Amino acid sequence: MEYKFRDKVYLSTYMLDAELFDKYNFLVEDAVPIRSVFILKTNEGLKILKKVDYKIEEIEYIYEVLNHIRRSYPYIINFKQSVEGKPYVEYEGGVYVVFDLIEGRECIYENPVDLLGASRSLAKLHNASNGIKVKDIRNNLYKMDSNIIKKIKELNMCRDFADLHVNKTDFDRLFLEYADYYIEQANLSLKELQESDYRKLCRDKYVLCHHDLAHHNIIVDNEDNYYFVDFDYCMIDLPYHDLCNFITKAIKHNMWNVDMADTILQGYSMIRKLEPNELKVLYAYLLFPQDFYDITISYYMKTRGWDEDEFFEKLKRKAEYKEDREKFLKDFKELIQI
Amino acid sequence: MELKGDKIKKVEKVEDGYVVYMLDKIYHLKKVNIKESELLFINEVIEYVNNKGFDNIIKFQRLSNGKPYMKYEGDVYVVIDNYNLIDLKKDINALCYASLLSKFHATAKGFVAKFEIKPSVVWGKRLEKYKNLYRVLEKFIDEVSSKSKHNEFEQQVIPYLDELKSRSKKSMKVLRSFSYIDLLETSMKNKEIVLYDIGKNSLAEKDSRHFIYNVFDISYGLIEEDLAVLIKKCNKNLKENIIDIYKENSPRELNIDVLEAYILFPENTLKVIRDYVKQRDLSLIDKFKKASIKDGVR
Repeated sequence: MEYKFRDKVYLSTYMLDAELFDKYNFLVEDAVPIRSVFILKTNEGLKILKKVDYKIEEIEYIYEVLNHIRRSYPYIINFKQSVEGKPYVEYEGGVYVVFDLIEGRECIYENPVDLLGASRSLAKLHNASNGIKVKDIRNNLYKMDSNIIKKIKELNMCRDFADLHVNKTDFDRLFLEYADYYIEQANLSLKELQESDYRKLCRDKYVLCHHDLAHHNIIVDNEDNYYFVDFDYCMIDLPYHDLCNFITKAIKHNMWNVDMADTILQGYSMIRKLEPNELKVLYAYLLFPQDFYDITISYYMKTRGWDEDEFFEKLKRKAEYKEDREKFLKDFKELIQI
Repeated sequence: MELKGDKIKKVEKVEDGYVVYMLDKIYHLKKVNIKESELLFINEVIEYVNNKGFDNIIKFQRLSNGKPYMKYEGDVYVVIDNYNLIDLKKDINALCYASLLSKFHATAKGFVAKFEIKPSVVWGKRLEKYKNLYRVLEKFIDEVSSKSKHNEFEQQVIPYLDELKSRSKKSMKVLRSFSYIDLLETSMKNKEIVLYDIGKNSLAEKDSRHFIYNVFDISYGLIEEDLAVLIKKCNKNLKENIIDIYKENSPRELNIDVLEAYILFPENTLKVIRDYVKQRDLSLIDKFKKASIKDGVR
């Protein structure tokens, strides 16, 4: 299915009518679809209406932690309260949230000024987590190693599954070429993590991690403030998980350029210093072949509606950057001197 | 596409759309390969500079629905006057363009897009392209150094590698410096607007006036990049004249080191090497020869 049509399918599940809008204190003049949300023109300015897939208690927790963060770092989205004073609205089987649209431009990772600015702001966002309430939901502490073990099992299962196919698809064949290598990488990642101070750091170094630091989720306003938006995947975790996410998203379309990772660490460390034992955990996170894992699971567990060609092209792209990724990991290890 | 109306005399299909002969005017219905959101941003910039007195730039006609474009069968078309494209390689035209460029930069500076319009931004994108090309060059050098036998393409390229590497390295040194980052910050604070792509379809003439024609990559960016691209496209001997003419209306003092770094980088040649590394196509030799002449690589 073409990417634009996937969004259309999701947008069509929105129940857009006056009754939904009546649950808020503003008047809606128009609604325009963008990606998987609607932009609302209201008497209180432009807002975003989003239908969410997660539980009410998660929304309430995210709302609570963002209010906590906002006390020290105000440049984040704010949930609009409904007429009932809740940060969400339930309507016709769906759960909706609304926030103000932030005026500005998307961050550009190729721009070293933006990259430094975003890194410093990420550190400030993490610092604003001090004193945050930790609950069982949206909590990834002490779970990284068991998560990796589970993922390694899944990759092994997929490999066995692909092996069994009599009429192998192009995806199967390419996947099998690289499966052993990336499973070995995953095992290396686990080993590094187990040998690090990961569990010790989980005791008191946790923060609210954004966990989806794509460039379009960081908005630079007209005063050069860096806003973080779209906290759908946020969780309590170690900050190196966010740093890993951020570094990978910045470098994977730029030939795995270690200079960009260096810029990110420099910017981040200006605000929040990273000790050698923390960098070791970051390195363990970076070792895990997340992209390869994601495409593999999407294909064999059919979690995405892409067609065969799309899956194959995506896997091919990941296969092509194997050498660049290896060089990056080697250079990065030298850079952080572990 | 079927165009109807009492005022239409004739419709002529052309490479990039249609020329429509009306009773009193001639229009070009031009197909453009960009998104609607990008077109809206470009149109805002053009209207902004027009309102500030700079009208040596093509304008999109607003249609009856108020939009500066129309869609047909999934393609986006703009309606513009019918201009005559002129050759930027001629010295006089290049100098004319340099003058228009600086006036455009000076007028467009500070532009802030309307809230609902997504800004196009290119700060840092060309630099990252250059960094990637440099990395490909290094890989290629490692590859040919480790082989005793070389194919035809490699034999052709090897004599140029020292100069390619030296120029790229020199250029990268400046573009990785703190002074470059400071310059980027200045450009971002000033909200500089650039054309980004300058080439053979960039300058047009109509009714004895000259117009900036290729507006379809207008974005926020660094003005030194635009000037460097112009200089690289023209007669090499014209460089100082172009800079002097540009400076007459420049929106700020140019960083000559950064400008020279962009000019020095052998982009065309490295793109061919990159294509060879991807495709292993020996017929790229001819392309390599042309590119090395363009870049002035000995």
